[in-house]
Amino acid sequence: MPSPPLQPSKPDDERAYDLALVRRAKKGDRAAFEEIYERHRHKVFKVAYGMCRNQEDALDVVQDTFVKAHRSLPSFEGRAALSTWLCQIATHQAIDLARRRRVRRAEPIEERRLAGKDVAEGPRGRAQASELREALDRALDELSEKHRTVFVLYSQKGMSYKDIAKTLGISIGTVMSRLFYARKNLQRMLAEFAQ
Amino acid sequence: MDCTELSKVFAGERAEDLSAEESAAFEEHLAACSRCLEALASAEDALAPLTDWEPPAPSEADWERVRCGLWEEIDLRERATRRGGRGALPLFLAAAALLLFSVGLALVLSSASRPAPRSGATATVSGQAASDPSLGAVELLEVEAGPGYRQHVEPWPVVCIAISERP
Repeated sequence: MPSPPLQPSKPDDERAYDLALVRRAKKGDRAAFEEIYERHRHKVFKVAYGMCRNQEDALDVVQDTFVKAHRSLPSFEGRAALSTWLCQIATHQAIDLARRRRVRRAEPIEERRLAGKDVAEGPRGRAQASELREALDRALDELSEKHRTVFVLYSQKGMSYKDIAKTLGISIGTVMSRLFYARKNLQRMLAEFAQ
Repeated sequence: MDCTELSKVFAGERAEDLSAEESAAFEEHLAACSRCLEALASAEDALAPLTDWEPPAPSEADWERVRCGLWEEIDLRERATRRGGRGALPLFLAAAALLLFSVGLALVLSSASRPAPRSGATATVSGQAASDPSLGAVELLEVEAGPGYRQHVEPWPVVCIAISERP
């Protein structure tokens, strides 16, 4: 089978490109799966980190997610976007890990500030934006697990209310109630950080 | 559910999850109410800036460690799967050996408990372990099968080794 074309630019192209990679990976093409990993690892990490709240566990979840995805590729039919499917797997892996660990506590804020140092480096504007993101990241710690999980999945943008509801086994109404409750609390906490 | 209740949800004033009945009513109302759809869109707009958060970026070394771990685990699973496929035959052989063992044991026990042959020969199980140097260190049970004959059997798995004339 010919390789997929050059990197896509539009969402539809993205999806078609992913599907072509999946088809190749299903046939045992390791390079194709490697590319799937490269393309989606950051998204998966974001979900994993949002749920685990520490980098080490989040990276473990990323690894477990892609191992499981590799095993489950034959069942992937492309109804959902590949990134949505991967994020769903990551969510379940993170929930499983949290159940198993109960609990490796979240890293202290200072430790995470250092871990995020690379992001904050660069021009001043970027640093300010980065500060806001860090403040938001810290505020996420204060949310309950169920509210944070919905917020993190919603932040993935590609995930619809229906996708989130299906992933977590809850209703769309509950997704919305958790999401907007999370928003209200995050806004309150960020206002406190700003003062 | 009505517009007032949905607006509470969009304002983040609803801390508890919705019940099954509430969820159904929520979706039904939202699908038909343009005012609530607008309220939802406003709530999403207010949420948008917050969704821009980023986790601390892992180092390249961290990513490389994940990548290596990923392929190690995939390779390990694939090897295990291949071994599982090849393992079907030995499993079959093990089952056959077990069957042979059962038959052998039944034969030994039946010959041990059988009344002495009419010719007057006796059949006894000595119960003593004998060592046959030609077979290495295999411990053998000596079975008296009749006058002039004895049978050596291995206790586990029970396989008939030899029938030899009594010296």
